[in-house]
Amino acid sequence: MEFLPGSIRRFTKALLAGTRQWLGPFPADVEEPAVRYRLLRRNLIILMLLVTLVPFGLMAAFNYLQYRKALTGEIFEPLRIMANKTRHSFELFLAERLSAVNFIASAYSFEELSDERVLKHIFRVMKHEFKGFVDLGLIDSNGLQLGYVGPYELKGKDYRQQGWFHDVQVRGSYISDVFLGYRKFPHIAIAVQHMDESGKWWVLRATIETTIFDDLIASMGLAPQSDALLVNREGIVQTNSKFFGKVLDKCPVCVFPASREADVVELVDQHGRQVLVAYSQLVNSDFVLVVVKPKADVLKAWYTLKSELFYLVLGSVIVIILVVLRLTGQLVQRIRESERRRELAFREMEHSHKLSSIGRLAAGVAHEINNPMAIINEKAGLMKDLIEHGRENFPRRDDFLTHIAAILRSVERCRSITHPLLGFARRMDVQVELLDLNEVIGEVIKFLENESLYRGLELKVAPAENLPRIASDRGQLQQVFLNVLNNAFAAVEDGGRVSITTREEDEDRVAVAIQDNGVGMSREIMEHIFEPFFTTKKVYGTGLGLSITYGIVKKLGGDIKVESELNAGTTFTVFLPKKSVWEAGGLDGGP
Amino acid sequence: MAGLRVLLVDDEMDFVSALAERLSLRGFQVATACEGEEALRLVPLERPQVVVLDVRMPGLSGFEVLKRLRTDWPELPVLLLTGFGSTQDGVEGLRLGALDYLVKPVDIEAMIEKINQAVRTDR
Amino acid sequence: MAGEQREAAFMGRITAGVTHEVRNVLAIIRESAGLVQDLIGLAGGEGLPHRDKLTKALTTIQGQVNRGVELMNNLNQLAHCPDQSRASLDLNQEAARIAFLLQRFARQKELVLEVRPSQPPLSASLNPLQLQMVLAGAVDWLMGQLAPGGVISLGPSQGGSGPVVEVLGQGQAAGSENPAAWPDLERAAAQLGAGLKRLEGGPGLRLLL
Repeated sequence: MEFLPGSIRRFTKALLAGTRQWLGPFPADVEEPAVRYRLLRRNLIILMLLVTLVPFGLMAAFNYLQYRKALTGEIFEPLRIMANKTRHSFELFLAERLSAVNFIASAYSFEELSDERVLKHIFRVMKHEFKGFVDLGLIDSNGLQLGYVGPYELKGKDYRQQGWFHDVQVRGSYISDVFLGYRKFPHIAIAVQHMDESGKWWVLRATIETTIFDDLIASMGLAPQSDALLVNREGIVQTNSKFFGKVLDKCPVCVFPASREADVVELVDQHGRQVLVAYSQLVNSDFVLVVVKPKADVLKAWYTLKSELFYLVLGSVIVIILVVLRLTGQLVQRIRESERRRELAFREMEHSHKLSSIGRLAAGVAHEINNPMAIINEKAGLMKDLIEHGRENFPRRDDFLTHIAAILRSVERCRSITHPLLGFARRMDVQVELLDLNEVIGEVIKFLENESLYRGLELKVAPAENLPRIASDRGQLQQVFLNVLNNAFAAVEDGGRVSITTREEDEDRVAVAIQDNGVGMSREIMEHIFEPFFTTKKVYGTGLGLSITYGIVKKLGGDIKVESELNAGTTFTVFLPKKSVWEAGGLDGGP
Repeated sequence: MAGLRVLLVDDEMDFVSALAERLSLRGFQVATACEGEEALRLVPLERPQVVVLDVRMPGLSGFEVLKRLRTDWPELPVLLLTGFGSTQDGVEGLRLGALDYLVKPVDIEAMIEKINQAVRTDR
Repeated sequence: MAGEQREAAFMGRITAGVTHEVRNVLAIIRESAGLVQDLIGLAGGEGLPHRDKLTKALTTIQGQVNRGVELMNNLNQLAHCPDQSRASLDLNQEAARIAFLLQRFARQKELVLEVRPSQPPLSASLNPLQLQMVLAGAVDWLMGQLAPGGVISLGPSQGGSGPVVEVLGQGQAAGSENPAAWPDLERAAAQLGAGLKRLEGGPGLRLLL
């Protein structure tokens, strides 16, 4: 960030710090797993939504504006062009007429024009060549109409005081606004001043019907809701329009700044409609061509797009949110899973290490007991031989032999007690051998015989006949069965029943089912029973790691399933592969 | 003390018979029971002066028997035998009214000492 | 942590069961052998064949029974370790116990394992099982470095800031140290809350409790 100026750097730092604070404690710092995962999920969701929605929003907004601009351009421009084109037509028309009058004024002398017959002739030709001329008049420099051809009685009229008369002197030509003339039709007057070589001047004035204006407007081919009209600078309507007034009305929407260029504005008309108004001022006259198009019409496409865009954006946002929620959920679930598995693996490793230490010690001591036992066995055996096989008459021979036999029996018993304990110590390596599952279970049962006796438990063993031998690790299997049996014992009351059945499940596996008629488990507990952190305060939580059992079974290539019914009992079924998934006697090897 | 009547209660037959014989060789009058119910039945019949009671037994547990003995025959001293190395059973037994406890395997001399003590003790 | 404790408790329970059983066995043997001794004693006058041999055998048997009892006592202590998470421990006793428990392994390697108790006895409030683990781990670590004939000694003493146990190895160096041993030991020591320092000039370590 060094290349950024200091202020930006400071700002960014503050922003990041603020965000971090707002996001709350970093998930890894929180101890409790459930909260940790909730926080992680929440942070992930926020982050993902930000990353997806912000650019998306920006893009959508950008596109919206761009399109709007383009569309506006698309709409405004043609309107402007159309206004311009039509204005041009109007200009052309007026210019033509002006030209004609000018020509006449220049081509004929004052005297000729004063002659009524000549004027009449000229007028007749004019009328024939150019549509629309209504009258023609000659006015002298004093403003007196000397000659006149037309429907009105205007000969001798004095125009000296009239504004247009001044205008025509100043500008040389004059085009009037529309006025209602003969038969209430709209007319305009064109006046031209001509000066001859002697400096004498006069004005030639003609009146034109402007119905042609309506034709020009009609030729624009406007849509039904649109309108075009000619107005003067004050907004007085010059041509009949559809919506905005008849001739000489005030056009309600014609408020515009004086500008030579054609332009388009947005206004609200007298009916409250939003309209686009294109206006274009005619050169050489006071007229302005106004084209009015209702915005709704024009922008129909735009509105459709806007609503389409809106639904698209809404739909997308919803989809994005749903996907983000789903994804983060799955992601956090995966993280949780893998963390759990890692934890379990670590625990098992750590545990097996620790257990191997305790196990090692315990096994060492248990092994130690074999030494004295061996010696006792030896000596007792010797005594037995001496007394039994001695040829001499031994007093109370039977008595002696009875007690010596008791000693020998006890030694044997001790061996059967310590043997399983030694098996536990060998947890670390998986040492594969071919074994008879029934036998292994028998060994484990012996271990628990006392407890079952003390508590009056009914221990039923139903080993399958001809159960095929399987390749697996004896010690680890012993631990598995011991764990499960201990659970069963813990679940039943005194006098309860625990049964163990073995069977060949299918051509690849054998199964061992351990069933008790104890308290049973709810579905909820069953779902979590193999989890390492799962503790129940109930009977099943008496400190025996079913998670470790699960781990061992899985490691041996098998599976463990549980079925239970509250207050009826539980059945654990351990499935084991017949063939080992481990290399025989492998130390570090494994699947 | 010679002729002292002792009731031995333990489910390990080998142990009980050997111990009983050894005690009788030393002059005690020994009755044996290998489980709680039997022991309780024998008390009024044999009328022992001391009961030596194993804690871990099938059926009626040693503690149960102890409780009954203390209730039914409060004058009868009870010595507990425990196979657990920890003092848990012993302490529990004392709490329930046993006079003393011994850890298996017992030293017979120590047991005899305690039996004599038990009878001498005025409760 | 909970899972671990459960496992240790589980192991403890199993071990406790074993000690109980073996004690029963030893009781039987002791009484039976004692009875035979009594009978031989009684049959004093009568010509008892092989009296000497029988008596000697019985003495041996009783001796072994005692040995077994001692083993069970120690194993039982070990079994009940997981029951407590913290206890006031006599370091001399703990060192002696570990030495006893590991005798077999030391013997296998032809090493001698001894204890130099402190005078007066020192105590520390620690997790008994974890202390056992650390001491066992320390001895284990040293055993991997000494050739047959060496001596490993455990010596509790009063250090500057608390009790200390020095585990020293004397003798010829041999064998390769198990690379996992030291890190494991460090971890175990950390769990115990103890400081661990290797010693210069000869294999050994100091445990600061």
